[in-house]
Amino acid sequence: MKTQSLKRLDIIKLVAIILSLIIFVNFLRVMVLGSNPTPPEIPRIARGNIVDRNGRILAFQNEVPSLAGWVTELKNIEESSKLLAPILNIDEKVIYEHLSKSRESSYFYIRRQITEDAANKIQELIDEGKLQGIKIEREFGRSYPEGELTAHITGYVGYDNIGLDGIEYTLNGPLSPKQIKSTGKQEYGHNVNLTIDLNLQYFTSIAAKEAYETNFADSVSVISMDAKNGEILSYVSYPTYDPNNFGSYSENERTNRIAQMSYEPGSVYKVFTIASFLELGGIKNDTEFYCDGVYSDESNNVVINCLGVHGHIETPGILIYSCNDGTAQASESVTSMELYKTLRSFGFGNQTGITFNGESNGILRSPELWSARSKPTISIGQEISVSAMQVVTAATALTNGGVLLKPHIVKRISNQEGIVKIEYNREPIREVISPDVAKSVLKMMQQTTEIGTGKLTKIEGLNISTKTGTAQITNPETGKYYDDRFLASALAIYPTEDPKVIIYVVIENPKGASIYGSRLAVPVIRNMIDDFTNYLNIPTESSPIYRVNSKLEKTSNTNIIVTDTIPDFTGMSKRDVLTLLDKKNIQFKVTGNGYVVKQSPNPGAKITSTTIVDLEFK
Amino acid sequence: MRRRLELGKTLSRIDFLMLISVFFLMFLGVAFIYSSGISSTGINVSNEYQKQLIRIISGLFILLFFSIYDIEKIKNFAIPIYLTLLAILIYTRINGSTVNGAKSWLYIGSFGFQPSEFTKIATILLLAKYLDDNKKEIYRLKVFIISFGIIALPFSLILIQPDMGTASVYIPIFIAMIFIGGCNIKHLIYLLLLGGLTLFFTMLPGWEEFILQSKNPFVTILNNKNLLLYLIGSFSFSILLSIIGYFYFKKEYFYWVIYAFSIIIVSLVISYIARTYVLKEYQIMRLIVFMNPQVDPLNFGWNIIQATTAVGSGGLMGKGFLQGTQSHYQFLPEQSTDFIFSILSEELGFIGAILVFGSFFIILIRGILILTYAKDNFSVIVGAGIVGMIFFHVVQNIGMNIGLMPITGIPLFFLSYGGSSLWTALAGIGILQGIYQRRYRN
Repeated sequence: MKTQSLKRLDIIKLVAIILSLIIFVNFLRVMVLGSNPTPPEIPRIARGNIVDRNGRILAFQNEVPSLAGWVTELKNIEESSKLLAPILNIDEKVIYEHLSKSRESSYFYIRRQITEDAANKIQELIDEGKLQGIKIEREFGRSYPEGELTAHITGYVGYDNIGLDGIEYTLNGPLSPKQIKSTGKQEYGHNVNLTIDLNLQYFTSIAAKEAYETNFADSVSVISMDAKNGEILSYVSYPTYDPNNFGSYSENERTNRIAQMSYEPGSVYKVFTIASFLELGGIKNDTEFYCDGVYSDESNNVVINCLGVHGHIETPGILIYSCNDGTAQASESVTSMELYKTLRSFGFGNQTGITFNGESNGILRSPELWSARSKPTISIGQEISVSAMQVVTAATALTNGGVLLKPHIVKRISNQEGIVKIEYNREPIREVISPDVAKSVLKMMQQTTEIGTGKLTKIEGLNISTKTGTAQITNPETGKYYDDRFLASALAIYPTEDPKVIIYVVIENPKGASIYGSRLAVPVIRNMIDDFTNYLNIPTESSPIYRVNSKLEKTSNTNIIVTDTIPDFTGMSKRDVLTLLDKKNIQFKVTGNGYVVKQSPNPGAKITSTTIVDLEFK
Repeated sequence: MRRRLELGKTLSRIDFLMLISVFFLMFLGVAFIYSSGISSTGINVSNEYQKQLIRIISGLFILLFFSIYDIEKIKNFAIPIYLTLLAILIYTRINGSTVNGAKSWLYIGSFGFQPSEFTKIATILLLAKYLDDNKKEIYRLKVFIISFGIIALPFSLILIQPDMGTASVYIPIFIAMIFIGGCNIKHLIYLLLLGGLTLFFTMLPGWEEFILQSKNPFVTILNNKNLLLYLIGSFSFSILLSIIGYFYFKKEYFYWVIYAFSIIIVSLVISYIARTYVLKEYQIMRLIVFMNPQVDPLNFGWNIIQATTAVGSGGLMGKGFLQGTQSHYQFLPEQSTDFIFSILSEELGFIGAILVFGSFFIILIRGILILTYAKDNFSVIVGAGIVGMIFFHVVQNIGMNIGLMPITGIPLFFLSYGGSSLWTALAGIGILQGIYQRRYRN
């Protein structure tokens, strides 16, 4: 036994000596050869840009000067403070105290991110040999050329180049990745392409601002989304702030309401509850209801008032007139659990997963917690709370044949050489309702625009599906509704037959002449639709395709091949068109001069012997 | 009178070379704890050196006690001492004070200590007793597993404090003791391979993310739960077949298949659990920056860069006592404890560092020699544990000061500021001295 231990002791000795040698050799390497005598330059990474879908810059990196000091080299503190005070516009005493304060680290900032002007003046003084122990340091800053227009999207960056809010915060990693190997040259973070279109963002912002100002509202949130792939096109919330100078704005102004605020949606929610009842088979399109102005369920002591007496109506009538009585009656046709599950699958009660910080879950309690009143009340959009993001997301189920999409605001992330690292595309989540239900709900909403509460949205030749809502705001202290605070909102989807855009407007606590969604929120949508339709080339019946001028040159010299269908002439010059039509022996009628702005028949129509092409030039 | 004679005889048999080294190191320690307390403006901002002096003096009594007291007698109390300290560890985990993110300190009045330090000695004693009691069956797997359990209990309690550094000391203690105790080498190698592979699999995803910076198909398997399950499933199936094969054909070949494959499976499972549930991000980052400090030079890599800078800037003669810049400008955190070696080699240079190396080398060599003189099996195993503990502390601490080892906050025995670790080290030296004195008895 003992001998074995001794043998093993020899092995231990050997291992110990080898390990000691390794340590010693490495020690020599570090100490004698000094292989690492000075700390390497700490790499600075320039943040990537944030750009809109067309590549227009929303946030970029710049360099700003900062004023720093070294405790050990500071001399003549009194004189230095005297010199610095007028340049920095700070009281001399304050600077003196700051400079003479005892501190743990010897390096400190006197003032960060000073103006170029001040930096130049200070540099002159330093060159003269004054201001010992003080120097100008260049550090990264961030600029937002669009300022408050995109504030809630980009967010902002704090000191040390770290994102604090918005995309800057949620995508801080890719924008400013950790440096791995010191390459000795300037390194760059990834660029983020958003789905936002700056032009649409501008249109939206104009409309939102007008509503915010004319109604003296607490806030106005407007969001528009590509109905087919869940890309957010514009994202505006008032009040807003300037991210270049975020420090001087209040928290209220910086709040990203669309994702973070939750509220009772009111009647807009009926779109989703009626869709649920239809999907669950509780009601049909032609189910009849009788509205006598008040819904009462005596056995459970539940009374819900309606805004009017709508008499005999069918299911579409509920949405058209926003009938509370009818909705409540319809809710009797399904169980609480069924309703809850369908609403959940619309995404209510859960975050949508949009790349914003602090996204609200909203509130959708589980049916065990519901009272006898809950089912009819939730059906008319009360007793629950939602975020604007959730409503727009839920609407994608209506525009995609019943399939809910995941909303996204980031199109792609690519590195500085332009190589795409991540790309975000249409991402279906689940089928919530059948395509038929989706279609018929859109149809009902379109009738709402034609003859119901959405009348103000009506645009000739364009089919728009709308639903408005006016909800009361809950007082968080008492848990009761305020008597005088309302939330006007409207959801629009258009064109009804082939939805392209979803727009949602929320006006919080308007204090003007009206408080109704049908009066306040709808005009905002109307304004936007005018601009959106033009910009996105959405065809309307009365005016065929209208295109903005920027497209004109592009097609003027293209070789259009005329086969057996009518090509798109828009933007072509008269000379080009005439040559083309002559060649093909097509009859035509021409008015005006310049470039084609209107054509009939529409592109794609078959050419027959009787076809006469009618072209209008401008 | 006879007792006094005994005492005199005892003292005359002391290993003076080792003791002188210990005293020399403690002296240097106080000097550089003083140095680390000086700020850039030349003012002494810390009275740590005075406290350290008090601890050294009280520590001498511990040293004396263990040199005189026969550890054969402590053997009988090993179990209660071990259990008491485990209970204290559990209490510390729940009610302890948090220092540097770990609940590892207990306070009695204003006197604070780290129970995890003292537990080392208690564990060494119990494990030695167990190995000694079972030396006839030491070759059996059962003994190996129970021994592992004795170490694993305090190890995991310290790991969840969480104090990865202190916990890691139990690994060399276990290896040294079980190896000297005479275990089956197959078992030990199995455990070592398992540990190594687990560490490897744990670090691989981090390595891919921070160092490789591109996707590696093999690493993807580790991150994808489903692929991992397939992998584990197929290996398990192979093992099952091999077990059947082993019992039917009795071929040695199957044994080794099971041996190798089970290592892979178990390490895959443990590393997955460790990555997803146990290890904190900063712990993984520490190991990543060890591979390359430049991954994160301002946070996790900072210590390594500044420490090696301090060591490297000392040169042959150093900058002179109290003249270092790395310490007095406070570039280095924890300079009186974890990074005292950096301060020392910056100010005393190569010469000073060689003195430290030399002293530790003497302690190590004398310690191993004492093991060869020891009179009984129990003493040999206890001694092996203590030597393993001291040696690991030195290798790990100096290693991290020169960028050879990852940063884990374990002190450099005798030099670093701190009472618990100093007393533990002195108790260890005392026990070694005791073994040395009793070498001729019987």
